Amino acid sequence: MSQKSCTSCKRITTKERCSVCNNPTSSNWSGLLIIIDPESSDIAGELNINLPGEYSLRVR
Amino acid sequence: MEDLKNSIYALKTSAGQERNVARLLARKANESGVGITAIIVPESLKGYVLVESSTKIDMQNPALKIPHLRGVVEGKGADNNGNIISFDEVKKFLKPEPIISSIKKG
Ligand SMILES: [Zn+2]
Repeated sequence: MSQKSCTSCKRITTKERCSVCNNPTSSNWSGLLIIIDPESSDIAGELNINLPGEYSLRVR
Repeated sequence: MEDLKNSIYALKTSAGQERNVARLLARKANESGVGITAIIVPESLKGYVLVESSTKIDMQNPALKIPHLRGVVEGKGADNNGNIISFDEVKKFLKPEPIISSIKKG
């Protein structure tokens, strides 16, 4: 099943809508970011991500 | 100066295996409690993944025995904290410029 990225929060999913923020998803994305420990990650802090999981770096 | 907790490491992977390595690494990090907090696979960086970690990456660690993971890039610090890759450099990968905006008009 093809992976898509939320056009708002960039979370990766196979669904048509993001399960977290309910915005539409897009298959036009690139770059992968995996957040393992959002509470101690500087990157998660920089991007205001507070849920572990997979995100794209860029989505259209 | 930002208040940063972790260091960024560049890990060498086989070409084309960046995402697979990152996903396996994430699973291992969840299982074994190595200090990896995030992993970046920039599209523009072939043969590498960037790892944010609270502890030094030790390739002898059995948790890091992953197919297509070739090693950690060693070198002199690029910033004041002795990190190989500075957080400012990482930010460029986190917020890639759309291609169109880098083309000058005129
Ligand atoms: Zn979303």
